[in-house]
Amino acid sequence: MKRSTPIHRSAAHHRRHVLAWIAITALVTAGCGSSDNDTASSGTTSSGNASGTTSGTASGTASGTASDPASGTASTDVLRMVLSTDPAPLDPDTYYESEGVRITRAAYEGLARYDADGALVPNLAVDWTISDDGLTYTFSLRPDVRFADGTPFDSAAAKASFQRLIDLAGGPSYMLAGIAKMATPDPLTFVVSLASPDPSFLAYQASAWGPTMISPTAVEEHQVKGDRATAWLANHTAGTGPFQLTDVRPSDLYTMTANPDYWGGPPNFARLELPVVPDFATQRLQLEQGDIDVIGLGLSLQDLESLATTDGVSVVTSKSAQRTLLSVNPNSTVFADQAVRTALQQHLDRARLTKDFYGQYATAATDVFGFDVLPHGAAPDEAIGDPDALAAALAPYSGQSITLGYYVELNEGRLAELIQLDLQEAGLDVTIQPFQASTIFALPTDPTQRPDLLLGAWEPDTLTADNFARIYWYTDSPLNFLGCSVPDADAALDRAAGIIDEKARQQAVIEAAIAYRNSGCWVSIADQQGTFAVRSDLQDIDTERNQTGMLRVDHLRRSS
Amino acid sequence: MTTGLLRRLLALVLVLLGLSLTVFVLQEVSPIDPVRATVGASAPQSVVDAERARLGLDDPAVVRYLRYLGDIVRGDLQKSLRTHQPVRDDLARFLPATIELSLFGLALAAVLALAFGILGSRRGATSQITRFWMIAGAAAPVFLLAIAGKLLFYKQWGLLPAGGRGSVTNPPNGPTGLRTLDGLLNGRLDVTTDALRHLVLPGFCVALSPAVAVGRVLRGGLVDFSNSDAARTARSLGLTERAITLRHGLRNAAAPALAMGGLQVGLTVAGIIVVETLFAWPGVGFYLSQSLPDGDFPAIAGVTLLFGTVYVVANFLAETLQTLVDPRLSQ
Repeated sequence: MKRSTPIHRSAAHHRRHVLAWIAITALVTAGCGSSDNDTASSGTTSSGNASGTTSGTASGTASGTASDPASGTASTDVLRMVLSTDPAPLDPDTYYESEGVRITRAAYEGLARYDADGALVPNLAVDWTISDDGLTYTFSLRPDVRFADGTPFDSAAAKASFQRLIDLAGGPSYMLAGIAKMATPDPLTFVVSLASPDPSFLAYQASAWGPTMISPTAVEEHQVKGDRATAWLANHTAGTGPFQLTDVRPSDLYTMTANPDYWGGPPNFARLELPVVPDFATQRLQLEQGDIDVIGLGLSLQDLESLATTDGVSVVTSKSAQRTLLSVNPNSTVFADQAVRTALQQHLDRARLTKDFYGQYATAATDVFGFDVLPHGAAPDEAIGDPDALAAALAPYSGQSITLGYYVELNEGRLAELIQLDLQEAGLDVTIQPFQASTIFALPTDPTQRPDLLLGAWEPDTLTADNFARIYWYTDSPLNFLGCSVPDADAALDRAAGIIDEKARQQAVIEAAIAYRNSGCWVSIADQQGTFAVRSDLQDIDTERNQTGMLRVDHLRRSS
Repeated sequence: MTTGLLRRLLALVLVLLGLSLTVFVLQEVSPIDPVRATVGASAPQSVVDAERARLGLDDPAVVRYLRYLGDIVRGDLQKSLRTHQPVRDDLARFLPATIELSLFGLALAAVLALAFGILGSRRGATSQITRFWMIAGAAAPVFLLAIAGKLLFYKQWGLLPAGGRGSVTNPPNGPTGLRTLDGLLNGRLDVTTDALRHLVLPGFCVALSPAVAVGRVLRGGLVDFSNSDAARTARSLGLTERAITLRHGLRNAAAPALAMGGLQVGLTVAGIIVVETLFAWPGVGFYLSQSLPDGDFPAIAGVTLLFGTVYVVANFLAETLQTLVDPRLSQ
């Protein structure tokens, strides 16, 4: 027998080893099993019925269509909305982040809510009155509402829910800090007395992080060592909303099941699934393939333009309260001079920046507050956008190095680069510095880390000028990132809070707004729209203006 | 053997101590405010102050570090600032997914490394093809592999899922926490098949780099052996090349390959953070990547200590295996 050596091998050996390579390649795909797509949960495929879809606008007119079991199959009665991060514990009285609001707002409801235009509308309260002194709020509660555990929602439950939020003292608890007394004269009347007038109190009832109603029975049943059921409510829900959490797999999948007894009518989807997919490219692939139905956050202009022309996918826009803001450090060498800050405010070309970065999905800011809280033009903040004037103002600092920070979890990195170019054109040496969530939120208390400029996109907890200013602009406020103080504006804001008369209060707010603007500490760049990429077969899309990236899920449906 | 074991146990303690100190110092010098991560960005200062006091963050750094070390000794890794759960419980929850992915990836890596090593040591077209794939594999960043895999196997061919750990509703919760195994143990073949499909792409991304590294070392050893006097003697005795390689060459080339394997296990653990994030794989690496932006020190430290332990233990096991394969190394 001829001996085989490395040098003297037969052609058969070559073929066999090539075949071995093919086998290895096959091994890699061995787990494929079947050729089905990964749709065991959703069952959806990429056969969306829209082709060459175009942008639409959220209707704001939920139809209230009742669920029709005959109209859907198992593959179409699951709505899949992606989460980019794993949410923190979902107890609505301590939860204070963005992603998990999709879950908390599907499960819990407040006394009021915002519609798509930003108007306060009844929710679990059908009506309310405010006393002449602005201190007493009387809510008429919606009858025949039950929590998902079957217990009735009434004034006692409302009072217990308010009290729990106050007692847990989490981030959102400030919204009820001004309550002096609560009363429940009858099961459908809930009376709240404030220690002093608060112009945002009613609006807090519609905030995405505001007081929501939690079943007192569930809290009592699941309380452990006096924890007010916080451990249980971290991954369970006990609200009145259209969906309730039924399965939690942390960092993997959150499953909510329709509440058949929902007071607004049973939802059109049997389940709401929220997979955690941090990688946006994967989210997009899954949307295109029909494995998820909605992407609500993190979409750049390029993504939106591309998705708007993708078969089976539509881009939907809504009004939002998201304001792109360039904060200016008044202790910076360059921007210590108010005249320089004002020049930056007036001559940074926000119209061009907005158009280049956001395209049609935002408008250049023209008012101090960007969400129609004041009549347009009452507190104007319009830019001239003259680069030569900007260069002239910055001429004394030519060659000076500054740092431009931006919030990395948003998509504004490229906008920071555009601003960097403009400022370099004006003679500054600009370095860009990304800030993570934990580092940016430490800036208000750590002046040593503050950049000269900081770019971010922010929205208030609720749609009032008072709330926005007290979060971002008021002296030493929680998110006054670069430590600017405008005492005159603060005083006007405080004065406004105590005024009952609507017109007089508005006048004081305008005074505050103009004082904040004149400080030059904040350059308003753009007012963003809410943008969603959705499967084209989703219908009756509705939003709440104060929750960017959120779709209302109670009446959302899939076209047959 | 006993001395070696004690020496390595001491090394493990020192490594963990060093790791805990390093992570603690990094936390101290970083501008991250973990309290904000806990109570929310726009929470009023009074809430922040109360939470800071509750967490003991107002104490001096030395006190906090010693308290932390004391807690570790008692098996308490503190509470995660993000999940509000004990880190120990979080790790127990996420670890099975990481173990499953690691085992699958390392098993695949072993198969690929063996194939790379053996086929690459031959001459001719097979060797050329093998070496091409080894170079390509070594050069390809994990994220690129992930994207290419998703585009081809998910989008183009629809064969494999793009991410996640499973698509089956209500998978069994135990007893092992490994979906593939639990599916079999609970008679749910659909779960096992589904889990395997979800494992393939991330598993391949985990496997490729260590497979190439070990395969290259193995190939070098096999080529050296093939040119050795021993191999020539074997040939003169009439043994086939296959027999020479499989019976004698592999044994001689295995020791350095195993040493490289031990190193690669450690590197794989580090790489798995990226893979888990890219594939939304709910394991410890994903847990870490979610904790980093929030400055969740207890979680970050817990994972670091865990990975450090795995690294040291993996190297210890690799060295022990080397000794077993080649007893000369024990002297």
